[in-house]
Amino acid sequence: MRARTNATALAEDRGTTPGGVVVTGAVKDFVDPHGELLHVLDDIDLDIAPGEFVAVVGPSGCGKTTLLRAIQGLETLTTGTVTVAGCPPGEIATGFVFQRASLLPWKTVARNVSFGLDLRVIRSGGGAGGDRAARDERVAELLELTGLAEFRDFYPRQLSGGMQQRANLARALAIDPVVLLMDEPFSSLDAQTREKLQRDLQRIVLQDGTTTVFVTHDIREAAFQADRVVVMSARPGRIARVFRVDEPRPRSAEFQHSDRLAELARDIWTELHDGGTPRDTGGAST
Amino acid sequence: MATTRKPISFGAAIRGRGARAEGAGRAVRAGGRGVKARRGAISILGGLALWELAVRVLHPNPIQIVGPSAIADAFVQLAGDGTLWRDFTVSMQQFALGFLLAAAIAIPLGLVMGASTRAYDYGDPWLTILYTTPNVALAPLFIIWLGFGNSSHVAIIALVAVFPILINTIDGVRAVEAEWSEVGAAFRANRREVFAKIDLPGSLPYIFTGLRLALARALVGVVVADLFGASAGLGYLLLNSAQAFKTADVFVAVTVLAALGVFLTAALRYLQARLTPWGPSNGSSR
Repeated sequence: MRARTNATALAEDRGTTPGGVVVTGAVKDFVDPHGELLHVLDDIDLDIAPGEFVAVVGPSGCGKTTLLRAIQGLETLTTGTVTVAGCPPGEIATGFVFQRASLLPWKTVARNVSFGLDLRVIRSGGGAGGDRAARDERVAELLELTGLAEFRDFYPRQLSGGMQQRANLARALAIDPVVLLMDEPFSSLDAQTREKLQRDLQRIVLQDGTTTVFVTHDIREAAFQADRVVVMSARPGRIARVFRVDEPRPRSAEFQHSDRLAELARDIWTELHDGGTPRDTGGAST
Repeated sequence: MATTRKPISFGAAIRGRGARAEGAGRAVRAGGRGVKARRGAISILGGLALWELAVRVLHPNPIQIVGPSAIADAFVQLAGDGTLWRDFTVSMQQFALGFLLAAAIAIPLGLVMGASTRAYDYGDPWLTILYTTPNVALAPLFIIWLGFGNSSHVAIIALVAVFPILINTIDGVRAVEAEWSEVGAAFRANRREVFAKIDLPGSLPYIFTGLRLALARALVGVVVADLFGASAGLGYLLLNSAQAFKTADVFVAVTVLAALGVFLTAALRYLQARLTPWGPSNGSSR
């Protein structure tokens, strides 16, 4: 299952140290407000290679967001383990991009992007001048990378939805995460903005060889971006099938509108809705 | 004309400042704002003219009602012999002390009660009981405890002003927590960092709303405290004039109180626009 992707090789060339994510026997039970026990995750095993891009799709309530939050350490598992680059969640820097607009409205774009770095500067004792200079440089770099440089002094509500999600992404990337976790980050955007951001994300995560776990309910979005698409079944959430997408990253705009992608998306759709694929097409395999 | 227009155009100027910070997109409405100010001025001036006309045509008993010109005459007279200035300064002093005392108690207490579930659980029953009790009913107690002097007046004003600030601060912190504490958690912020970096700045607009509500109540407190016994103050002027059937003087006291309310609210709104430039409530009219 563990794949050495082109992203890994690329990251190693750059001398960065990517980390993988290993989820073993993950079970999560919730007690709902009526006192009923809900099995949200049921025995999930997932081994994500350093630098790999994995998309998770599944029906609403299948626990895909819970899985992502468990990797981030925002949620504790009932049983099972999660490791990020061999460590428990929370010890290694992981970036989290929320679904809804989660920028702090009282901070400008630049201050939002530097939020995680600000916390580090505070912890290092108020910050030597060097820390701050490094932080400001990193923030400027990310604003440039996400195309927000000229909006650095804007407040979030002055930005479009697409720009807000770019800023969210920049904020998550600012702390140089080994793993980037994204929870339906583009779901509230219009189709055109979404496709553009998908292509931009390709480029951005490959640049540092960042391992990416991307939760979405948009099958095409999943198949376009990911090395592997993990299909989860409805509650209790299990991994129904894993599709591999054999197309070198970064993926092009041509691939975004290719018949191959459409075909692959159809296969994944069939798996999601009928629980099995009657047809076997090239490009997809378990 | 000029004096009547003043508070209206002042308020409009403040709203205009907030709008400029919001960006060019809102500039379209600037024309509408000028129209709004003009209509407001016409409405007030027209109302005053009608009032004056009605009094001159109908000749009502001057003990029951007097026209704006008679009120203006009374104003000039009261201002001329120094009575109004003495009553005004006494009331303003009591108001300022009471209001600041209320804010100094309510803001820190509200932050603690908003941020700590335990503090909230212990404090909320008291808050409910005290808030639903007509606060003015407690005024005689303060006079028993503190005498007829300034301190009982300050205490009564602080009592009526403390609850709106407290309740809004608590609600603010809780709303901000619910919305953004996850962002803090995702960036590994500890409790103290969440409080300083998220709860505190995020609840500022709510605190300002509380201050604005408290301001109106504090002015009521100024009058009510005077009714329980005073030797100077706008409430004293009001009561004294009413008992002597000096109806025009009653209207002078009411007008000064109304002008104070309008001016202080505008000042607070100006402060809010400066301190919360991102503010969601900048553009609101209340």
